Amino acid sequence: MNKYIQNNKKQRMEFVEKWAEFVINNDDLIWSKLQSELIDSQIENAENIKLTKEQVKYIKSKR
Amino acid sequence: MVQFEVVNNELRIKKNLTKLDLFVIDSLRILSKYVDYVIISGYVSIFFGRARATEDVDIFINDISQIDFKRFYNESMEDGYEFNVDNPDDLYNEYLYDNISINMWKKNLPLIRLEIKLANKSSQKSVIKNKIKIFYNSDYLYFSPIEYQIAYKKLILKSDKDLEDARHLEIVFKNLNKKTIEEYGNLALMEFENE
Repeated sequence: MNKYIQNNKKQRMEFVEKWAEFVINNDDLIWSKLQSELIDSQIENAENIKLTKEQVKYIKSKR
Repeated sequence: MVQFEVVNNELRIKKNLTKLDLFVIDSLRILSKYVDYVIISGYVSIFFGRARATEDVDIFINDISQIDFKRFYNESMEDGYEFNVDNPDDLYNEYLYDNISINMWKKNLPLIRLEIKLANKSSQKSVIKNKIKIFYNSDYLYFSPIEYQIAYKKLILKSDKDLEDARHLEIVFKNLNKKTIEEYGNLALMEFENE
């Protein structure tokens, strides 16, 4: 496997582990506030795009 | 350090709800009136803290009669939801009971969908039978056993995202049953190989 891809996977997994440690070392209301900022901003972007169901179906079929 | 722990198939959590959580809670409020359900896959990790969003929230349901399905469909439509097919009979016969998942979403927001599948394999039925009840703030949702998620993601799905989801769950939950993970893994692998 390409070394760049391998390193990238390793770094991603390290971040996942660090974040999971943050979750267990902080109050649920603290990590969930940060998490909701991330997820809500992505959903707000989706709301602004205003895709039709036909467009979503097309995008899904191309994956 | 406080890890989540499921005791007697229950767990309590007090958290800030995301817009994704609110979508799941609202759509399952309707579905749960008509059929037993369980939340599976990526949203399980997300609900317990994984720092990512998703477009599909996967759900297994038990058998449902066509009459109840139509009631569920009509109530969902009245509450502002849409489905991937406009005819409830086609959705029921040609999708749900033909092993194809059905999608529902809030009108004008098709990028976030509930993806509903009929549980028909032994492992899937077992997940509904052994579901865990998660009390959040003032209500509850039913989730798949965490051990099933870890086994399925690590042994069957195996994408980077799935392996990361599984790792997250392994860290944030304590007292996970290794034997149960192995049993779910063996069953899922056997079903997968027989497909």
